[in-house]
Amino acid sequence: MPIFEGYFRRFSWPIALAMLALMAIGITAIWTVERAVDSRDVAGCTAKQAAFAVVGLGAFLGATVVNYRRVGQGSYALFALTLFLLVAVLFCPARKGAHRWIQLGGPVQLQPSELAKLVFIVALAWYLRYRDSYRRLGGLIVPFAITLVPMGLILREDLGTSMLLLPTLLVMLLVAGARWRHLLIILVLGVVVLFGPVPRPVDEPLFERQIDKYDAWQIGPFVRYKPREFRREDGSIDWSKRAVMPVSYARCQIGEGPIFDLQPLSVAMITLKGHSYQLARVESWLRQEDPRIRATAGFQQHNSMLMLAAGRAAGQSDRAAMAEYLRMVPEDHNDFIFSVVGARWGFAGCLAVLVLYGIICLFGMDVATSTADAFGRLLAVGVVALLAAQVFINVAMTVGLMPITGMTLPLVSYGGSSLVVNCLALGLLVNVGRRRPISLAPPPFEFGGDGI
Amino acid sequence: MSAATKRPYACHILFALLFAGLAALLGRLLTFQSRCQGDMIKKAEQQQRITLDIPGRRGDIYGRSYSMSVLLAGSRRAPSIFADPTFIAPDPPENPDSPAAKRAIHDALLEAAKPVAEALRVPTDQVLGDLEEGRRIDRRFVWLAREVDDATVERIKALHLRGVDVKSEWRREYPNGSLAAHIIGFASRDEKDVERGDEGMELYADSYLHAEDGHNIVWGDAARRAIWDAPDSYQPPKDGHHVQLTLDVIIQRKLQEELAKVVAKSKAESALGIVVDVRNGEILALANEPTYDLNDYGKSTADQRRNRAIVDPYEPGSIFKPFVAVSAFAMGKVRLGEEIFCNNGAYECRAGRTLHDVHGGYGTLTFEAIVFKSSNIGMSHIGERLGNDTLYGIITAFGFGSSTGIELRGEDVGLVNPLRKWTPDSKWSIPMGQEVGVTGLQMAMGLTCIANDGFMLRPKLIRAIYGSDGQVQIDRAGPIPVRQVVDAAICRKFRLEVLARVPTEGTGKSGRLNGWSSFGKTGTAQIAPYGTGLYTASYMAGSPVDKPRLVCLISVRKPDPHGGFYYGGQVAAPVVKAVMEQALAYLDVPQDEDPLPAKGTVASKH
Repeated sequence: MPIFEGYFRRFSWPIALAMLALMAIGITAIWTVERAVDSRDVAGCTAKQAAFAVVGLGAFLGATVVNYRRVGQGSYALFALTLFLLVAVLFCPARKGAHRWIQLGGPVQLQPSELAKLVFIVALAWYLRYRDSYRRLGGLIVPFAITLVPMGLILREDLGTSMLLLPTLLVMLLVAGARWRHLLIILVLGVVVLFGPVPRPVDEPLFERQIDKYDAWQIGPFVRYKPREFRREDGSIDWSKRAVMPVSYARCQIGEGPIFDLQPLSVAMITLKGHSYQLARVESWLRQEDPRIRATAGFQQHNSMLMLAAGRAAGQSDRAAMAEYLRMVPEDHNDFIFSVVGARWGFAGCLAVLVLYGIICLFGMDVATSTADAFGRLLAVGVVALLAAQVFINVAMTVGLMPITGMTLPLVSYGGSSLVVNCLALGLLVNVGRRRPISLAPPPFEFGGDGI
Repeated sequence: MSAATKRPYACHILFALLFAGLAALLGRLLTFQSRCQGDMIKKAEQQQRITLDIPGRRGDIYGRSYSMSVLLAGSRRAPSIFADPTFIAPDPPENPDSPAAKRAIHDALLEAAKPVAEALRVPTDQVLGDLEEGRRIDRRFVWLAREVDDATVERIKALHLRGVDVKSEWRREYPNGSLAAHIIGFASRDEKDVERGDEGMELYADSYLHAEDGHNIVWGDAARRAIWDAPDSYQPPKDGHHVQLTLDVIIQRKLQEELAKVVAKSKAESALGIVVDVRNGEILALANEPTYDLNDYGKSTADQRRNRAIVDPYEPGSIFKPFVAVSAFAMGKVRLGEEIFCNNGAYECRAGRTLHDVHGGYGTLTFEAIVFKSSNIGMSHIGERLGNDTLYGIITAFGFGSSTGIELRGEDVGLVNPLRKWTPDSKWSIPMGQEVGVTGLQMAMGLTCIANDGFMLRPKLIRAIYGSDGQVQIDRAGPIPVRQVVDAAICRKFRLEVLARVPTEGTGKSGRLNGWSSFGKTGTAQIAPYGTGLYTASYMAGSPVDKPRLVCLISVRKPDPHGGFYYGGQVAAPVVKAVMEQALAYLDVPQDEDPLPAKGTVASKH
């Protein structure tokens, strides 16, 4: 963006300041939680997060100093190391029911999936830097392999993080200059995998076409979700019945043939893998209005929304009231830190946080547009895309726009790995910006033979 | 692919995406922030509170013996067994609606039900049924057995089953079984599991006895486990007040024993008895036969639970005569020693109606003799002198046809027709206790009025009410006055000169007390329709004559008429004698008469 060129030429101060502000907000929010909810497992979290922040700042400064091209040169080795860690973590003891952390001795743990996000961007940017093979459909195989291999490894334990990689890949391919029709094909494939209907035989009767508020949900123009009958004999709704069932579009029968459900392919796959809690999350998201769901599977999400609503415009500064809200959401210092921000500082706080992310993204884009080096530009775009996708998914699940997936809010959520990795990524972004040519750059987003 | 591909719009697309995302998030936030109102947030808070109930203790009911309190109804901590079916059989990881999952749940419940049923000594199906029903409706708390004994608790604890545990509750106990069952009544748990009185004093004084459960509200985490006590959320249980009754368990016990005996002996349908303390109107004993065991009230019938003494009006018959007679005497319509012609036993008072005396015919009787020999014809002559208007005034002044104010629910006011419904025949019928319905309690209080020199008292059952801390909340010592019905001196004279001759010279010889002077009146009332041979045999008496302390009424309904054992003097008077003699001795009332000569009293009829 030429308009920014004259103002911030070398060091992207706005990015650094926004980062610092977000980290400060995060630490304050965690402190709020810790102070109000003293007997939970958040004791000492503020101090730890502050320590992480110091480490993160060090990582940030380090990442701005080294030559980012050196990092690129080592990216394949890093990538291999990360894959090794991702495999190794599966053999580590589980915490909170998931194999996500590697114990590094003492209280320090490493979450390889967080590291994988950054390494993936670097490796992909390094791969795409001068090539134009991705302009053929066959040439997309390698970029996809770079994406899908770590994704597959993370998928089982950390659905949210793995889902981040695909949009990042798409954005980087778009910026690198892949063909529209190829991207479109990939997009269609993705949609098919997510929503493509597949039949699944069931052994229950075809339900009558009776639709009411709690009985069926129209999601978009095509998807109709209908849970099983929850009605008692007198016609009232029986919430006590089990509510979780596989999401399906419709229940069908052709002639006298067997009855089957038309299910989205992704749901069918999840069902096959037996991850019913993920289905429960999807269902609880689809049925947010259902009071029974609110009390059980949708408890976290519903209460997170209530907490945000309770914050109103300017937030709640009364400590006792804060404590009441904070008890409502488990993991509130972690994945749901945004609802704490909303409860504490209200809509204004939410807006401020989102605007700070917006500043980072805008100036990150600025870096990308004004960088002549293809690797640097791709790296910058990748960092921005990853950040934006993370923020969007996290906030969307906090406000009930998406099912809960388990995703940290970058820089704000509690967690060392996430914080340090995000600091590193922003450091690299600023690094790229620092090495922009002072003189006129070639026209931005120009690809092909006559590049640099 | 050597040509340069310009894609300057790529960054526009990314910017657009960025802003769209931002707008979506903020829009969503604003939407539900405006939709969520304060009460929704409050509701969300409540959903995080876990309320632990602390059961309050229902107040006791006490009777007395000498001046000591005796527990009649109380609460004792009793263990109950409950289960959490969902804990016993959690959801299997696969689809919980699949047949395999249902089978797994069933198996888990069955596995738990078998040892539990064995420990509880109940069929396995019963426990399994409770568990499955609870599991089906997703209830996390299911009672398996209420109020079990300690051995059962030991057996359950020995199982070490997770999801089955013991919880203490208050259990209502009646240590004296059927003693004063109709007065005490019973309490049970309503549909909200709150202990409420159903009958008797448990019902009448429920507002005092009732205990409020306390609460301890704790914050729950997302898994609804208690985290810690929320500040200011502890509300201690409010235990119920204790009620001290005027009942004396010794007299009550004696009364019940004697009633049971007389009902068995006379093959009667039912019987009632009341003992009242003349000085203050306190009810010392009130019993009905048949009765029931309070600890087993579930097995009683409605007929057994009827408190006949206050809810069943009956025609009193001759025991009604003293009220008319004393009033006529007080009004000067008749004098002591005045002779009245009694038509030799058959008085055709109007065409088509002839009155008879029960025992042959009397020529001329004095006023006193009319009462103690219980002459119907003599009384009808007195009735003629009074007239309907005066008679109506007399019987309402003695409280017939209106509530006595007893502290129990469901008291009947009896049946006194309004004056406009009275016929010319009424002046003959009313003085001999026909055409009028009274309850046993009204009769007893009427005689208490005569015993109390014409001063009417309200019957009293609640002596005092104590707080759960033992502090007196309400003290009701002393009489509760109603009104002066008859002049005191005249009433006293009537008692001494007329009623005191009933047990000595009249129809109540078998009710004569051994060692105490007494006054009374017998009654053998035909039960309408007349001529069926069914009677209510009654005797009421007070003692001592000079300064009465006790009044006792016994009415036996429908004694078997075959064998001639159905007169009030035969059936009811010995019961009164037995009860009064014991009660007077027990209360240390000094004897004022020489003991009767050993044996020789013959039951005189009517």
